Amino acid sequence: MTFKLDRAARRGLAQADALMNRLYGWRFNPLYHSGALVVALLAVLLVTGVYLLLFYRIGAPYASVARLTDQVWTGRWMRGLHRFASDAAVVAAGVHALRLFVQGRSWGPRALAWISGLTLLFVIFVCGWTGYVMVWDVQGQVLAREGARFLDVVPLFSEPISRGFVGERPIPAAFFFLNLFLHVAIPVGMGVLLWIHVSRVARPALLPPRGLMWGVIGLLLALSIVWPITMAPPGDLFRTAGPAPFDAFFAFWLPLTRELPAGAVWAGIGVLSLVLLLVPLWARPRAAVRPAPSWVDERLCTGCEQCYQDCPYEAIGMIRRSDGREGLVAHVDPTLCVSCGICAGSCAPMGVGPPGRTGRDQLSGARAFVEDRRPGSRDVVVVACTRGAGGVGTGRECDGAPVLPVTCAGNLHTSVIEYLVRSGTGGVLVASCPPRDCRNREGPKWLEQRVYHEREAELQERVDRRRVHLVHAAEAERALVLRDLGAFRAEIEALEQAGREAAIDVTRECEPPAMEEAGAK
Amino acid sequence: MTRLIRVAGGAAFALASMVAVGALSRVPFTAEPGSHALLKLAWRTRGERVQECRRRTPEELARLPVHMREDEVCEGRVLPYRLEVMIDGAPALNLLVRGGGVREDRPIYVYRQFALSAGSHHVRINFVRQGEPRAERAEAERGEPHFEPERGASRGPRVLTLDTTVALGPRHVALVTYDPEAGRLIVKTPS
Repeated sequence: MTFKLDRAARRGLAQADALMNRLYGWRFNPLYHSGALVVALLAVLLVTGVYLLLFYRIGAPYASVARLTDQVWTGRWMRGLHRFASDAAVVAAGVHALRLFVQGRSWGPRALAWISGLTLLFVIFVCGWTGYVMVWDVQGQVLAREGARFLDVVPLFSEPISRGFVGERPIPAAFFFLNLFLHVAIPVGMGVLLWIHVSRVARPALLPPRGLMWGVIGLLLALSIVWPITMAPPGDLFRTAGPAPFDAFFAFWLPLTRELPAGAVWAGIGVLSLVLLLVPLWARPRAAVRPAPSWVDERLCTGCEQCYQDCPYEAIGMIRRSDGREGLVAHVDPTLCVSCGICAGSCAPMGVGPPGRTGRDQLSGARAFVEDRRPGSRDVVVVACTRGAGGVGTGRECDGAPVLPVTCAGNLHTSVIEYLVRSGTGGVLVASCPPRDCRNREGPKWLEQRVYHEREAELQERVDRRRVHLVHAAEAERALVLRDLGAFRAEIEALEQAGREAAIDVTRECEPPAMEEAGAK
Repeated sequence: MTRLIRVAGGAAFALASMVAVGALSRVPFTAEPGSHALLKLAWRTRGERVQECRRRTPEELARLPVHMREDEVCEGRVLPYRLEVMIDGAPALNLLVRGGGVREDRPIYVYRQFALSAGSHHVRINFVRQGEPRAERAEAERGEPHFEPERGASRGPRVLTLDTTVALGPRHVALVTYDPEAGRLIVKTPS
């Protein structure tokens, strides 16, 4: 059942990715940049929040927000942008978490990112909660009372907090000050959590591409101008909460918890939290199929530091050699290594990589592949990532072209490409995931650098680049791979034709001209 | 044409997303449905704190640091109250309210609410302290462990009563609370 759900989820995600790629291209696909979008939206919240803070009064919370909302030229849309940015941040964070869960990027060394990410999402909720309480309209009052109801169960306070909201005396300004303090201080904590969240990745992409970022912000701004936020009825402790607009992104739980005792709500939250926080345990593959971390053959390692630079997870460090030779040697920290194999693709002497996927292992595999499939001079061999790449990597053939699978395009050693070309293959088409959707973050990026821009371990100059082609395709974009395959085949055919024509001996192959014959006669 | 369709599709998706965000950001919702009114009881009183005292033995004193050698050890608690609520002649609540905390030595809190239909309702509340510390004097004279009022502690009211008719409109909340200056229960209603 779980397996079927997993497959269904992956298929759904693949279809969504493909659709977004068709609409916006992989560079601007918002699903690929969901995590970075959260950061951008948090920045918007910070800027708009500072502005709103200038006008907020803890002694008259509702009135001050109403005055702000009445400012047609600034305050109204600033408030709207602040709210919509927070809503969009919740959506982006949810999409980001779902993607990483479905793609199996939540366990092992990525567990820290998973747990810190969940904590960040929770903190965003709490920050939004305090933000709504600040307004002290009907929604704010309901959220405050519900929060007090939940906290009363916890033996933290000497008296029930709920009593503060019955109307014995007016709500003191100290309450709104505390609420405001939390609303401002929590984002500082978010900064720390964000730092932890990306601490195990190298070169984290914290912001989305400019076009996407400004596009999203522009749309939210347009929304706040065209469909502005208005004031809901004020909170009144001597009236039950009547109909009012509620923000579903932050108050979706209200209909569920309203009728439940606070203890039951805590139990539900506890169970849900446990299930989510333990995802790194229950979602990880069985030990038998878990990939082993990379290892370094010290005899072969020259200490060039390329793998250290290329590793997307900073799992490789340089340490002093233990064999008496001078210089440094690479060392893989197995607790940080996700076994992507990108280090194997970076190593010219083939001295590092996961067991079975080092450069040497790949070359052996390529030799066996050529012996088995015997691709000819008109054939194109498709080297495909097994995770994305149009799903091509999971099959034996792609439209008649033999497929050589790799676990990640970044793992592919360029020597394999060279071997395939020099063994007589017409061309090598490498199909990878779109760079922003790579499970290992930087596989396609490094491969392109190695093939075209002389990054170690670079594809040697002697290899005819016309016989090598790279294509990016998401898991459900098989048509894209087929299209590029067709075009590449045509190019290879043209190359072969040109080669045959160049090989023709004109003096031997052409018929003598008719005039010479006539003359001879 | 394909490019045009893609651009139009992208724009449509973006627009739909924004409309969804805008709509979900203001979903009409009634947190407390219905037109009933609420009667809330909420007050706080220190109550009468009584304590059980005993003398430390010489061995216990010897074990303590010099600056902590007090002859007498007292453990206190707050006397509970019996809360009875009658609404329109029918009993609505009969509860023993104890002091807060594990040792029942914190102030006493009352926080209850009753859903009522809109209209007039006769409300009678009795809030009576239970237990008589002075009756334990006999035990004190006999040298037995006893409870006695804590010296210097403020005493809450022994009895609080309210007998009134409250008029409540739809969705109104009436609050019965303790006014320490007046020394009695009062009713607050929406203005």
